[in-house]
Amino acid sequence: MPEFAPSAFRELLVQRVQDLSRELEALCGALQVAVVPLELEPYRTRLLRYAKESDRWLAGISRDLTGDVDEILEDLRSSAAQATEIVCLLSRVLAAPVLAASVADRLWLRLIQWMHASAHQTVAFPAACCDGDPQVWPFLLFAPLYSFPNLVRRGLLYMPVLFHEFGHVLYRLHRPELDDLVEELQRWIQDELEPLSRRNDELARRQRELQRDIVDTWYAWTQELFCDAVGLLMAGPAYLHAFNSYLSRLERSDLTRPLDDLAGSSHPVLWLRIKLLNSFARRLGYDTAAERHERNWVTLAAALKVAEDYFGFFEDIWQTKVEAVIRDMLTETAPRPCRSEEAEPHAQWHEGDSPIRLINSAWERFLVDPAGYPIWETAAIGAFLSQPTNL
Amino acid sequence: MSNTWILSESFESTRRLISAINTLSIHTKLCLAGRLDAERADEVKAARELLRTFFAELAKVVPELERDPNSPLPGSAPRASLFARRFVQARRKNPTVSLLLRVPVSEFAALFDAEDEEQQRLLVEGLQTLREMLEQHHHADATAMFGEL
Repeated sequence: MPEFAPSAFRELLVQRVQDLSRELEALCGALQVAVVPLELEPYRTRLLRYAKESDRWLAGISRDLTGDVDEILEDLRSSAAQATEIVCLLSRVLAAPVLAASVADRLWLRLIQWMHASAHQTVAFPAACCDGDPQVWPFLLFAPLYSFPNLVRRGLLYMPVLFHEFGHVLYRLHRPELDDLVEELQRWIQDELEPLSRRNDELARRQRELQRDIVDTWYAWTQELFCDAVGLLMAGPAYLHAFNSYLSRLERSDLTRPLDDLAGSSHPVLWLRIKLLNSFARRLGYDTAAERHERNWVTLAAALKVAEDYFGFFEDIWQTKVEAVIRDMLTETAPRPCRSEEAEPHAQWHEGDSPIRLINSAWERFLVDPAGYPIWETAAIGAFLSQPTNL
Repeated sequence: MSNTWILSESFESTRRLISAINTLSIHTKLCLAGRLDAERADEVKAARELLRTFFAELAKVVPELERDPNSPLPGSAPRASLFARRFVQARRKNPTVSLLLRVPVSEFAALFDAEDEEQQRLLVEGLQTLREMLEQHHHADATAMFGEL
């Protein structure tokens, strides 16, 4: 191993910090000249502020590098590595909505604004959305960043799926309380899986590992089921339609997945999610929508000759407990529920109405008249965007 | 609907921990070198608090995993569970590397306020070990987020 040379190492770190500072300066320049819709301005302002804070942090590392205590060089190396990551995060992830902004972003930005304003813990987060798979980066130290495919973001039909992603943001904001509830469910499942007696052989060891996999997997699964419930509660029946339409691929894997794929998976099997969503939809009074999708799933399962089987990762007798915990999680986070008049059949959206009524009207219109829908949608989006923004 | 929530949560929390370790480590080393480091006082206080909370969480699961490495960890996020399992594995395999891997977690956490030089040196050594483990863990999150060339 070559001998450690503190002065050369110090010089290397100084160089890195200077490079990062220059990169931040270039990023700020690009952010400032980008043409963005009005709805994205608060996000740009926050991004610039974060970039300036990061630059002050770099200045602090530079100051420490001027000292003469060599023992702290390893710590400063780690700080410089952290700073490198932050600059990457800013330039490669967080800056994307501003650098690739388009006027077509306005529609979904309006909905994100409204969604954030619906809860006091999220009201201060600026709205941002970029191109990509449907997901959210729930950065609480900065702001949540949603991504959806570009074409999807030009229409109303898949907007309800955003509320699932908002569920992840709510989870992070209420994490200690929600983790306790998830823990309660996981321990309950663990007890359910406990055999009456345990042998001391290879089979018993494998059973024990499977039990651990099932219990651990339910941490992520519970969060996904909670987010589905948030979506349905906030967006109403439109969520059920959007969810089914967006996620169903008419594939066998929608209905069943091999045991190896289930262990450690981040999402439950789609059929299980649908089953629990439909059950919740009936509880909320959305029977017609639930029946429609239940029928479709039974038809698909019969056509593919797939019987419902989750290989021990879910049993029907767990449903009551799972649903009770999800309800407790909803009580804890208190998302704004869809109001009855917003989900009313044949309700028309008028200026001043919430976007929830708009997305439910859109689905109703689409289901009745898919061919005539695009013309209706263009007019509806125009009317929605012509409303004054509350910025 | 991907698992970015798992990644971003792990990314942010691990980053905060590494920053806290750096702050406390720099402060302790400067004290050992006889330098005043008063301007970092608030930052050091916040770093100690964050590390105390982290160690309290770790102290809850380590005995369980030492008793049964295959034990599930209800209420723990997937990435946090994985780190706890790796930590326990390191304690089993390399207990001589540092005090952090030899003594109960709560005993090491008591060193955060150490004023005695010998104890401060043990703290610095343990923080270094913890940082190496966290940086390795963090690398997977960062790679998944930013990709590789």
